[in-house]
Amino acid sequence: MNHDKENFHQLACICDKCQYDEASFLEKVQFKLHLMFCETCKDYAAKNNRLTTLIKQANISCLSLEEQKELKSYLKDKIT
Amino acid sequence: MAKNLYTITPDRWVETHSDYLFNFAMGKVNDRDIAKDLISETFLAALKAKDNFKGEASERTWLVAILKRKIIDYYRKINSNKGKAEVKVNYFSADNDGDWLEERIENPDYVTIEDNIINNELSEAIYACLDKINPRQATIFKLKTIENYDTEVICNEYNITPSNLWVIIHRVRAALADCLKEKWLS
Repeated sequence: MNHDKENFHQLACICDKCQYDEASFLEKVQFKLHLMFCETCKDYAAKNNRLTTLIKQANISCLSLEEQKELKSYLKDKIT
Repeated sequence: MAKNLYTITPDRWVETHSDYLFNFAMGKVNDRDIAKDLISETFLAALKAKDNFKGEASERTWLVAILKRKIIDYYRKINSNKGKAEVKVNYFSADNDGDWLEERIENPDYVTIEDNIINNELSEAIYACLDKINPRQATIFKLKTIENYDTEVICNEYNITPSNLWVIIHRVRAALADCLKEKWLS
């Protein structure tokens, strides 16, 4: 199936939302149906799933917003 | 020929290096609070020593070197405290697996040394790719993907709409997939 760039972008965003389990029921159904006919999106979804698995596998940590703010103010105090 | 020297910008350390250093420290100490303390100590030590920064290595390499020393100091300290306070009861030997029930059950979360090495390499690769992306977008991605923040909280913090957020997430994921494709996504 061919679709224009904007349409692909919308579908890709739904696919991304699915990775975070934040797509609505309707969006999920719409996307699943689309995947039955579209190789481009199927390929994108497969890569997206693999990326999610890799990120989980890497077990990455990062600071929360609050922790970042704390660290910033600590450092600011020390600089001044 | 004159060599390009690196410079340091302490007021940008939290945005540019704190997540990387925190991830590095978590890999070594596996305790959020201790990792945070180590980062603070690292930044403080770096601030004190900033006049010694020669600019031959990047700011991050320099900070990681300081953090490594802080981690070694941390382990030295807890090991010396342990020796004083603990009596080690060793019921385990090479030909005796121990009688505790927990030890006889296979641990489903057991990770081999090889798995750990691969995962560390992967996390380094992901951070290297994220460093190439716009820092604000990379932070939004990390908060959403790694810290599992609610869409609403990120939108409020960064003053963006949910649609903007998903566009940013899409851009970062696409850039990340592109960056990781040769070694990890093929």
